[in-house]
Amino acid sequence: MMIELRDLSRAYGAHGAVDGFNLCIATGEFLVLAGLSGSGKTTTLSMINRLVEPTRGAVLIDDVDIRARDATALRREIGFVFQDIGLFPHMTVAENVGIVPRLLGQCAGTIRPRTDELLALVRLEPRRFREAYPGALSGGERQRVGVARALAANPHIMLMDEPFGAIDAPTRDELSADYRRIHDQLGLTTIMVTHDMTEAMVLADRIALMRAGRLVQVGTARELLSAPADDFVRTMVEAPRRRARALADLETRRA
Amino acid sequence: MSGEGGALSAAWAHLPDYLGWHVLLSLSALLIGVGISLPLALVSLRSRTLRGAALGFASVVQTIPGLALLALFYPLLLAVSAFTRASFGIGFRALGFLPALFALALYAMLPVLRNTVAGIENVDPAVKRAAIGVGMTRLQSLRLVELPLAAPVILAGIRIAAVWVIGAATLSTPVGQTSLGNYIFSGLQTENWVSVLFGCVAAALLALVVDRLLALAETGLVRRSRARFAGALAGLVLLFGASLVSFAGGGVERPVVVGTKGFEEQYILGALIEDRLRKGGIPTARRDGLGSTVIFDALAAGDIDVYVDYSGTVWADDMKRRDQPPRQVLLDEMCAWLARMRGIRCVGPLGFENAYAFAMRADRARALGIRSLADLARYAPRLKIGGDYEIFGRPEWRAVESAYGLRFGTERQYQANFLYRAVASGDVDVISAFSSDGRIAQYGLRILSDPKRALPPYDAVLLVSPVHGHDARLIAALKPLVGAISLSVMQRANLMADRDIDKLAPEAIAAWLDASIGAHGGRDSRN
Repeated sequence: MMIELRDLSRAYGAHGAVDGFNLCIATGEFLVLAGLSGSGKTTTLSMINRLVEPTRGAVLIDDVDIRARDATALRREIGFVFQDIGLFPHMTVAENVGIVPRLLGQCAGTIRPRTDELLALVRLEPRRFREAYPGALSGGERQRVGVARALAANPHIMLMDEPFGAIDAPTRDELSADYRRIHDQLGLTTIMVTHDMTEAMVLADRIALMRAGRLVQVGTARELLSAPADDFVRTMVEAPRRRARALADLETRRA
Repeated sequence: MSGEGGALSAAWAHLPDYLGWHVLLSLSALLIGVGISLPLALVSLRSRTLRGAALGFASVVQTIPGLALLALFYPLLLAVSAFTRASFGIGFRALGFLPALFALALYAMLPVLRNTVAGIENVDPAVKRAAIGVGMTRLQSLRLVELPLAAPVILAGIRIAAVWVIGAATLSTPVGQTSLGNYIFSGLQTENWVSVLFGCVAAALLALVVDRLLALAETGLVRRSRARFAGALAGLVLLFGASLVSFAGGGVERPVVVGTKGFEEQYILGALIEDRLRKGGIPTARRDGLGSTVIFDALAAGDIDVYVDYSGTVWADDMKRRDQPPRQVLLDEMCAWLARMRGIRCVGPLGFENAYAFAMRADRARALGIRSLADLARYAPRLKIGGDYEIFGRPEWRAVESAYGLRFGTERQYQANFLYRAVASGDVDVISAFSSDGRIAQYGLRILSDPKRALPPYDAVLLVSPVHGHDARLIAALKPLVGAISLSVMQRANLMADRDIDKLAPEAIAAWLDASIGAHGGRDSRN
């Protein structure tokens, strides 16, 4: 599924404005939207499933303008993983995962095996977690459920809004590695928002760097490192390396 | 001691009737209130203006005193009933169940509205965003996510509404709806504190039971326990069903409804009339403690069938007459007017007058040299006057005020029992009184004369509704009461209810009254 953002703009937004964003995302690509908070990453992402409508420009999926599509039907076809997890606290894990198939009118007999299959895919033991409520899960487990829910209706596109931001570092690394595996295995097209440059550089096929609502540069981690468009990009992409160096210094001094 | 025990067992005997009506009334009102405010709250979530209007309206309703709200529905329904009768030939009873039901349903609205709106608005925005994000429509999000999450808050609102409605339902007695309020209102009038307390405790217990059942439903929702929720629901349905069953024994023949205003003389006469009708083989029902304008309209509309009114009241209130013809002329003109304008049948005067009068302590009147209302005018600015709840708004008071130029320093209002004590203790100097009241003699009061005849005569008159105006059996049963009760007999009867020690229940006094009438020989006219 090819996604094209054409002059995409949003004059104001709860998560920052967006101004004249142009980008093509290829089928099967893993694109990371990175940048400081308030730079318009979440607003850009939200415009792709019409949670936010652009004030100018358009989003095209396989050359079809999404404004021609019914918003609700469109959202059911696109997996969305929310920053603050957004699981329904009054539903069990199985009910949460099965919600989109249920909205699509699938019968319980179909949904149940599908739910177990998805839980296994995100490495949650179905028998243990099926009947649990979100309140009883750890942050990492909850976000695995969030990913499973987003995958329930066999979407080709996954939108992820800082999915692992609120999770402790070791769990986050494990989760993101797991998700990358799922992305490759299912042949998804993924757009993920993050402000963690290390995560961006490790996971992404390409990184799109945003500042103040504008796309500054897009490219692979290697391209950004070797030819940063400006000082902002350089500071951003060199941050992980700087931190690694600081850590290494610490170890030499200790030794 | 035996008096209290008797009062308690009398109260017990009424419990199935009063409690049954109370449950039926308050649960129906709650159901309607929730049925209106829940959808209204959901619709108003989408419009700030509508939400403001709905919440504002419900808040205003809440500030209206319960008693007034209930009373206001009677004239409203009466007008609607008259309209439907004229337009479609279908009328309905504007007294009793309906005004109480509607007023209480309105009362139930505010907490349900407010909690529903607040409950849904307070659902975590991240969860709402997720609901839309996974592809729910607005309605699906409401049904699958927002309502279930807000349910405990909404149910808490319903619990508040339930307690309010059960409490306020005791106020439906004055609009003619039997409820646990019957204990309270009749108890207050006759100073039967056991009865008042019984009514309060019964209403409180009922509120507690319903509240507990709804609390069970709430925890059922929070803990997603179907068993608890179903149990609570079953309890409520059972309560409702039991209240319906308690009426199942009712007869087929529609009883003749005897109405009374809210004071002892009326309760005694009501009991006497009921007794006479029953002896004549006519089934009866009572509507006690009705307001004095409500009761007249209720008779004209056929909501009640018999009651005793006073000629001067009808003359001033309903005929709007200001002239003062002699007693018999007024009576004749009144009966002709009632028959012509309202189709009401005058069966006849009972024989005594219960006139508005003004009374002072005899010793104080003597000391100031006051014998008449004319003498009073000179001292009035320095004196305090006490009245019942009605007098200062009545035309009789305006007539007296203007005839004698009375301007009192202070006006106070009391419940009748406290009125006499207030003048006896010197809290007020003059009170409005009723000439047939036994307490005038008991407290050593002097009635001030009315030389300018500003106050009309107040013959007690038996009135019958248009529906039963030509019911020969009914009229025959009532006829022997005409001219049979003298002023002194009525004063003695009233004192039996009003005295502080050894007071009797209205039924017992009615029996005494019945016996003393019997001595005058009205009895055999039935054969």
